[in-house]
Amino acid sequence: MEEDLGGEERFRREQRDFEGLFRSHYPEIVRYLTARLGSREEADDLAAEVFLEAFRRVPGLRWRGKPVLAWLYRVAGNMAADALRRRGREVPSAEIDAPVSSEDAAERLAEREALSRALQTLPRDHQLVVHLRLVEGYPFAEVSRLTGRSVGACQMVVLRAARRLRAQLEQEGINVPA
Amino acid sequence: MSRRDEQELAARLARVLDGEETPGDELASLATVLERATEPARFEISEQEVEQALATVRPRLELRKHRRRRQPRLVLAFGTAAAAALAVLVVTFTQIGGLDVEAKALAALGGPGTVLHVDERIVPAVPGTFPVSTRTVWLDPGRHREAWGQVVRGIPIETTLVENGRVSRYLPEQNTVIVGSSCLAFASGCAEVLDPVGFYREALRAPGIVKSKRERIGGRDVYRLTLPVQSLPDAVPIEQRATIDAKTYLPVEIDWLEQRPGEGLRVVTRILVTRIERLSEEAAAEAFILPLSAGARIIQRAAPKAKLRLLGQRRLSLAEARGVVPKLLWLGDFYRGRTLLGVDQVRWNAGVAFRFRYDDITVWNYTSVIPPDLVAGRLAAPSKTLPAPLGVARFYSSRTGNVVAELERGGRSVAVVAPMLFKEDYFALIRGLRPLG
Repeated sequence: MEEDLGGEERFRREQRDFEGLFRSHYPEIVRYLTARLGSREEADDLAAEVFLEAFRRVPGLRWRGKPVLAWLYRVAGNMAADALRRRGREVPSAEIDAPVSSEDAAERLAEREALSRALQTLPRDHQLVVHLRLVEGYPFAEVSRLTGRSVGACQMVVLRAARRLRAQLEQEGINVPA
Repeated sequence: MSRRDEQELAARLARVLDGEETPGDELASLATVLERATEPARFEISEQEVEQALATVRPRLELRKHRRRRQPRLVLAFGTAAAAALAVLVVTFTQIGGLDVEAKALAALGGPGTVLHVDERIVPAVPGTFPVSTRTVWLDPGRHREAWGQVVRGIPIETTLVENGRVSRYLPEQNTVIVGSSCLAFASGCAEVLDPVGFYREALRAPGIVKSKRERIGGRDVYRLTLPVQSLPDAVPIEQRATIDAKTYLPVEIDWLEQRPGEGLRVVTRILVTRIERLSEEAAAEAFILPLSAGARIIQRAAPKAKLRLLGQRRLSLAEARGVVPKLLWLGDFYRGRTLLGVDQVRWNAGVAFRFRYDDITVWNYTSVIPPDLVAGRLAAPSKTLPAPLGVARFYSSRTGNVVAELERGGRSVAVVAPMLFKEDYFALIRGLRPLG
């Protein structure tokens, strides 16, 4: 826990303090990569690459009103896209820990797999907006700062993503209760 | 739908997600689908995991630093290059022996799918400084869960379950279970969830950080492994030393050592491993269920979402402090020659805490916010948990290296920090706490 700092001051500090940058943002970069790749293990490996790149390039970044975190997400997004291209196959669905032992569980699993597939069909920048708001819990103002879109545009992306996900589920015959 | 209507709907969905609007069917359905789609990515990553990842990256950073330095100087004297190559060879061959022991020690603990059942006896490095306690631990790294029960003088003190970062701590004496969304929900939490054997296993998996030495102790051949735990700029250096049986390669003793400024390395906690066995998932299934009694009270604690910001503080009169419900715990007007200097209500963005100041002693009362001075070190020696007259007391090291004694009582935490006192004095401090009536 630490006191909140002004944007530029924090940017400068993160440029100087690689380990601080790593500790602050490693978990969310791993979560984002897990969502993109569908595999925690691959996400761990790729997150290490993202931070190695950060070690090399962040000290040379110029302050343009965006936090270092925005740069980290951009690099992570690019690396995930490369990894998916290299993989050249469908993204596996999210890993399921619990064994499927009942009809309910089987339905939940089918829904989860369908959702995971649907999420992957969203454009990359839409996935990021959804991730920042829904997984990391950033307010829309912060999502806007991290993605360089207006607040209204971010809200619109989330609405369209939700509709697309729901349509995809309906197409697969999965009911989404309110 | 016109663009304007769509914008209005998007803004309303945003308010629903922010909890500012109660949704109708349409918006509720959209919010639900978003929540469910993103659920698999909503998992906690513990500080311990972050430190391990950082430890894995560090050698590659060193390599890059080295390359950066070397790149402008392309011309190297042949003699230097030859010496460096020889040094690499020597280091490689020296490490092969160590790696062999590491690999065997790791193999002895089973693969990641194996559940380990460990009995530990925690003894003071200086006899008599605290009572001996025993811990029974189940470690299941494959499913990201750990459970342990702690017993002192035959009395169960607490049972803890950590599953995917979520911490549930059952205090049988108070029939209360405290559930934290992560170890960060507890001041001592992240030191608490660091089981010595679990840590030892993880340290063995990290390449190249173990030093090993074969010795004969008490007629038994053993290896001594040294695992550096922490060397952060804001923390006391800590090291873990494991003694493993040279035949079975299983740990028999684990010591935690600290090096305080101006002092040598010294043992702070000694854990004797009295039993260690590998179990199948089925055989260990019940170990990961908290043994709650009927009517157990459940208290939820959330890890802080936002960075902690101090909003202000206000001096309270004793009459005002007496009015706080539930009653605050303090050490009285005087404590062993120290005078109460003041009571403050300290406000952060995450909540309010109360502070009693006595010369070199500070007593904190808090629930939703953990004062930064009390947060445990990222990787510190494991905390000690002992029974106290008013509840269960926990002793651990803060990020700044101070000892903290924390008491759990009826859902509220009370902590004492006294940098000038010795650890032994902390037991007296905890015993001296009483309700401000």
